[in-house]
Amino acid sequence: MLPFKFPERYEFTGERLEGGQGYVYICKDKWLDRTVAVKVMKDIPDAALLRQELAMLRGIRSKHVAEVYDLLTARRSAMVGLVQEYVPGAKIDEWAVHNDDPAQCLTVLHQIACGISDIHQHKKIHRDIKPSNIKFDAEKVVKILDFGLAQAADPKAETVMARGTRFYLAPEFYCPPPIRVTRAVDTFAFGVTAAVVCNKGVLPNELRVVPPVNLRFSFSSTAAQLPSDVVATLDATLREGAKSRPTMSEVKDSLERRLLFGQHRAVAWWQGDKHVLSTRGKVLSLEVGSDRMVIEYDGLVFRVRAVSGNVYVNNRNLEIGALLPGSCVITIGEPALGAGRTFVPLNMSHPGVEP
Amino acid sequence: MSSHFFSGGEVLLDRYRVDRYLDEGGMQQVYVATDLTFERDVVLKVPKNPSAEKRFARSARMSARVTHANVAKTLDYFEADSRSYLVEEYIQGSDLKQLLDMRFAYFDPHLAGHVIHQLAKGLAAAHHAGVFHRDVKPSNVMVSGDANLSMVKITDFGIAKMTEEELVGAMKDESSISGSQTVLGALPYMAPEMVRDPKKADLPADVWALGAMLYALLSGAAPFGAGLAAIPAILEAKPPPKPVLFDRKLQFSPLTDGLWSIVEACLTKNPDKRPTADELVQVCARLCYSDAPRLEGTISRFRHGTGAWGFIGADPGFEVFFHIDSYYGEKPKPGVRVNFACFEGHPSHRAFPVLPLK
Repeated sequence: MLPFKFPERYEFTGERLEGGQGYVYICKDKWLDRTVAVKVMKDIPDAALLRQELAMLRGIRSKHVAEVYDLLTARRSAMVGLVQEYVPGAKIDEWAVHNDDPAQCLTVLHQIACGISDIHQHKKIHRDIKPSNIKFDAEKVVKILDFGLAQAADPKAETVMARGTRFYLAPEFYCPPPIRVTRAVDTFAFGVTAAVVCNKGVLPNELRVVPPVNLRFSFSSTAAQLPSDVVATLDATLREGAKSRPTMSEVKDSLERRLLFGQHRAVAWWQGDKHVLSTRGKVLSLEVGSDRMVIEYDGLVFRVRAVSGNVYVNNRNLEIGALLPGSCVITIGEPALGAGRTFVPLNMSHPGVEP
Repeated sequence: MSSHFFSGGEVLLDRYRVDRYLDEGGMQQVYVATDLTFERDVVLKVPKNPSAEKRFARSARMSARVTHANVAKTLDYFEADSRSYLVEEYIQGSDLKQLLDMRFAYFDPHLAGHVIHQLAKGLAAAHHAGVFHRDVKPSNVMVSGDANLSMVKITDFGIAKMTEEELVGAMKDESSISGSQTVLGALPYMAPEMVRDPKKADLPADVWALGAMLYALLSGAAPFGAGLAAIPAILEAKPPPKPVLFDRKLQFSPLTDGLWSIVEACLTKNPDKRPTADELVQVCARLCYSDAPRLEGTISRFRHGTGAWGFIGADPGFEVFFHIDSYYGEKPKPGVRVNFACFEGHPSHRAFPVLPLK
């Protein structure tokens, strides 16, 4: 049974999903011949919350947030229904149960991090990040759902109520009110979600702790066999102090670097020939007389491994270990030689990682 | 040219306020409107004549089946006052045809790599949903107006069914085709099997069109020329000449090699031998193109001779160095507007690539 009469355009399929505060009625939009999800609050007084949810969703433009199409209002009550894109795929924890490929964990976590980072960029805090609010769409793109608890990222925002989901609530929610709600609460919830994704869809026992402090959990011990740099970033998302957690944009960048591991390419023109440096551990050696620079690709970055004499990168001295800019000219030879020096242009690129 | 249905200010369904006329295709008028319920800008499409309404509704349903970031989102469809309306997401920018007409003469390989990768992903999502676009061409691609063209979205799915009927009509009567702007606009990107018998064409025709479009981005012109003269060359599927800059700007290889093999694979005469959209996505994912943030500026000075170089003025007091080899064009001149990415250097930052604008 529908809570109120939906416009004739939306035909109820009979499938109803239950969420924390509301129900989702799966309907067919007869005008566009597509399936949509209509979210309605369980209690009439909560209907205002749905309008607030809409206000939060409005303006967020992200490939990882489900689109809103329509707002339905009941004739005889204050009830409203929010018509949204139907996301047909599995929830990420259901997916993780069957996933045997650790590399896929990274891809999925990267997408979730992109989505939360987009939400944060739009100055919003989701406040209910958890596996059951994250699904795959038909193209296997991750979508973040349920903005029922979302709020604006106001530096002065405080709350007295620790609403959210147990085990995903950040430690600060267990402090005496008023509680400062910052984007870092989403970072913490992302960390717990990531632990579920990396632990075959199950919340690790070490994270079933309230309040979540002094956690005896590290991503180094999960089934996903993550590399150490990713472990360090993900472990940091679960830190007790909100300010010591990384931003979601930093998390996203860290995961992206790892996804691109060994995939970069630097093309240099040296002595009339093209030299491509794209294999991890390989070096490019540039030498004119006693002036010399060796560039190394370690799978993540291109850096100076050795340098001696007159070698300049975009006209600057680079020391051993320094990173090369994404595009540069390496000049070899005494400055007094002017145009008689050797110029080696070097440009870097990498594949795209977005779905 | 038909007159505009709306002058602005009209409110439809108590929800959509028409703000301004945007554009017009062969079949529809396009307006920018405000969705008052969600307080967002949207695009409102209205078919030009009643005979097109049935097709229009079908096209709306086809578009609605595809959910992907590289496909313009179908938000709503309704009928009011005996007209049909399609509501789509609004992208601040322009379509790719306008972009090539007004702002870019052609794209540098990195920008072309980015655009074709996005388009391949959008097309693959459509093909997964069983949706055959039929009319992939620059005017059916929306791009955001930023210097990186960060948003790329395919639009107007299946609306080309109408074009197709016109084409069949035109094939019977040569005089009508030259009068049809729709057909003339689509023709340069049509696959040989589409030109021969549109009814028999299928998904590979979209892949052909994507390859033809990539060629147009790289060279500034459609691969087989414009207008009716293109027909024999399309039917023959004779490989078009490589863009002249490919061999002159060696710093851009091996990316140009990768892009060229995509063009060649897509423009294969036999539709069964072309890559699928999924295969294209995989190839594009392996292309190494730089997506470094870009800026636009004007060349302030240039020194000719061996190892020629110059400077681009962006913000006041901010000059960026560039070398002739990084310039993806013929002869840089002061006053030329350019699109470029900027990297740290001393005393000036260094630009790569540098793409001249119109």
